[in-house]
Amino acid sequence: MPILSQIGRRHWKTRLLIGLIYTLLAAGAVTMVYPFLLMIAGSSKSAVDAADQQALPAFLVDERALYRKHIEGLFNESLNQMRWAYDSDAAMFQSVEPPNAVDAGLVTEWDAFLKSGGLPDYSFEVGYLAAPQSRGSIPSALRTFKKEMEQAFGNNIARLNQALGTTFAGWNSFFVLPRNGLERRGNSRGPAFDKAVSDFASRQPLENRYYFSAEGYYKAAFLKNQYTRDIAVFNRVHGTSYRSWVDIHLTRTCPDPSRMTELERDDWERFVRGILSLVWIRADPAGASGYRDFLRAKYGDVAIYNLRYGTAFTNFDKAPFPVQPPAGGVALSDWESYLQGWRNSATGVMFMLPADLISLDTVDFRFRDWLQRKYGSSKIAGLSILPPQQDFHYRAFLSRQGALRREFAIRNIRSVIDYVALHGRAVLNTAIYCGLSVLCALIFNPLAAYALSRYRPRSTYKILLFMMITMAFPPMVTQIPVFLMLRQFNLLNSFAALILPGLANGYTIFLLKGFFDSLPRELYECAQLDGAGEFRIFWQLTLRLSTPILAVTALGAFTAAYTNFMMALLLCQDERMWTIMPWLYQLQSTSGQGVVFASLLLASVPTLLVFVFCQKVIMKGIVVPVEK
Amino acid sequence: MAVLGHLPSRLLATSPEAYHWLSDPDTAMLSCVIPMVWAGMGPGCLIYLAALKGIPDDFYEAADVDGATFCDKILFVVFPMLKPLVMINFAGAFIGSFYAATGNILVMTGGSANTEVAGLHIWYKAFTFLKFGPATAAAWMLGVILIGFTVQQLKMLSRVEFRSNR
Repeated sequence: MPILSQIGRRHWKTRLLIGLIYTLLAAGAVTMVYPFLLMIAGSSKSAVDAADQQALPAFLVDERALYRKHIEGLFNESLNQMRWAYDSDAAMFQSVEPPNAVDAGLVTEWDAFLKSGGLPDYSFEVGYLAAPQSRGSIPSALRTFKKEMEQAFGNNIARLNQALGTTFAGWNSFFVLPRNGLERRGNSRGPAFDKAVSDFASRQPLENRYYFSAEGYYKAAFLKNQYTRDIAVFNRVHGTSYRSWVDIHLTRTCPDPSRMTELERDDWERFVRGILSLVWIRADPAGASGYRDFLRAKYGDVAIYNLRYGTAFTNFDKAPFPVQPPAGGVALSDWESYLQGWRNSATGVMFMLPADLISLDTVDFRFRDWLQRKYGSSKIAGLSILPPQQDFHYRAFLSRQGALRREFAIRNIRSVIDYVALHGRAVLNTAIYCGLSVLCALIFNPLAAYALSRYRPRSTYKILLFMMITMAFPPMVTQIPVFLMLRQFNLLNSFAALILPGLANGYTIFLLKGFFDSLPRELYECAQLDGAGEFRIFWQLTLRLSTPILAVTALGAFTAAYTNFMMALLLCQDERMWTIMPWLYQLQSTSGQGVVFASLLLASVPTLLVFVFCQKVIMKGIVVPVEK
Repeated sequence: MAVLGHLPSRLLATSPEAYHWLSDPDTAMLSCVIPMVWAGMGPGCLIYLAALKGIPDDFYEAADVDGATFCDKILFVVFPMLKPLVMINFAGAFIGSFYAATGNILVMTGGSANTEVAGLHIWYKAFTFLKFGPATAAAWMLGVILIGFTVQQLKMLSRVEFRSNR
């Protein structure tokens, strides 16, 4: 450190100065590193913690934050599904709290019930199947399912579309719509695809599923929507005296008029007839005659019925009245009409399944039945037991926190890799493009500089000025003409289009010329005396002596090619010619914050690696202007 | 200056409300510029470090013998030696800021709060309003305005020679 003299180093003033310098440098280092930490932390975000600004993501250290993230993922980021399954009032995932105490006995019973296989396929959905809020992220179950599909169909999306009746444009747009098992007009994902998903779902662990609770749906979506969340309002309207919402239940059959008010019966009927998904509803066979009257009124002639149903009945008395809702088609729509009530427009007569003949067969009731069979009806209070899903999930959550943390930390990064690297030619294209542009930069720039430096044409300065002036204009000036020109040459969507515009660089030629000028002329004379040809001089003498600056040129060409987005997109609009950058841009335009951060982080890895490993070369290749 | 005015209250967290640096016209421009300067500091430091290493120790010793203080050495030894580099970097940064700042400002404010610089204006004209003609004309004008600096930079460049340090 010659600028601070060796003499007097221990003087307090000098020490103060050194201390000050170190403090400034340390402060600078911290402010440099902090944004990077934010970036890394941001790459693990999902919708629930997207607004947090912490250098260390909260879910890594805080159990509660991890729980919220887990619940969000488990319910496929659907707040409603969580509220219905848990019968909870949480306004958002950020305000979800872990249960205070786990009812271990009930959880064990629920576990045993699930393992006994008493529930049909449509009664649950798998978690981590979709991320509609944190967009772009591929949760673990979807990732596994996607991999299975890829293996099953040999990575060919067209075959999958054909086999499962889907219309995915590519593997990058592969998604699964989580089943909505409670609403009447649930989303449909096509029978063949639904079967594939169900098959996958049935192989998933129990703690990764959530079961549809009709009672939670009844209270959260139907009653609280109408009568507000205040139990007092409910009591006032109904003339009842419930202490809290916990005391209100969805009954299996229409409530007995002696025990519940008329309005409560009305609530139940409206909910069951019009709102709840049909799969949970069962009709009593006693309704068959009314159903046949309804069919008679609707179709008039049995021939029309036969035509629609593909049957051959002689009269309506043979027409079946399914206890369960039929699988689909016109039978289902008739069944539903009869449940909802159908008015004959000609006669004005109403046909409707009587309320007393409707019953519910939901997850809640099956669990209660199972408990009753196990312990006898006397021991079970019966009506009020709900599946302890929250406790069950929480217990499972406690035992797999480490795995969840790991999963959340790299989930978005894996999604980006899946998007960019595993499908299509993005990585290959980028490698070819970068390799070619480095090669071209190393061939054309030194040649031009050598010519200018060695032969010293009289117009050297003008030539240099001309080349430098091309750099003086904004990139927008050149972009459009370059595009038009390459289109004229029919070169769009080729590597030539990517490389030609940046083949030679005025500033690099200028730098190289200056560097070549500084090489001693005597060397050239010696080489000539020894009989070396011009190419030999260029290759063995000039280039060998200027490796550091050539390395820096190559690095510059690499970074320019790698980060080139605008031109890469403009000149190659065909997806097959896209480099990584257009792919990332497309991903970012449809993704949430976490995935955007992860993609940026991932995109910076190659340049970071290059700079880490070529540090020495870079330091050597830095040229410093010195006065002649 | 408005930035300095708001900084203490944010650093000490006296006000609970977040301050919207990028949407207040008083602070938006400086808030855009500071991160860009800060990000450019890394490569800049490398170059200046290389240049500093190129100054022979003898100069400092001679200055010591003549009784120069720390500040004297910076003013009369370091600065004159680095002057070509400083001048070239200045011209480069000046030209570069007209073009390179566009992308960053686009991301940070999108040109709102009095931050629509010339490059951004051209960008909007060309790619948002698709008026390529006026956009290209404006880009040419910008280039013409800057041509003086480019020529000046070229002149400086032709007066110096480039050396790399080992």
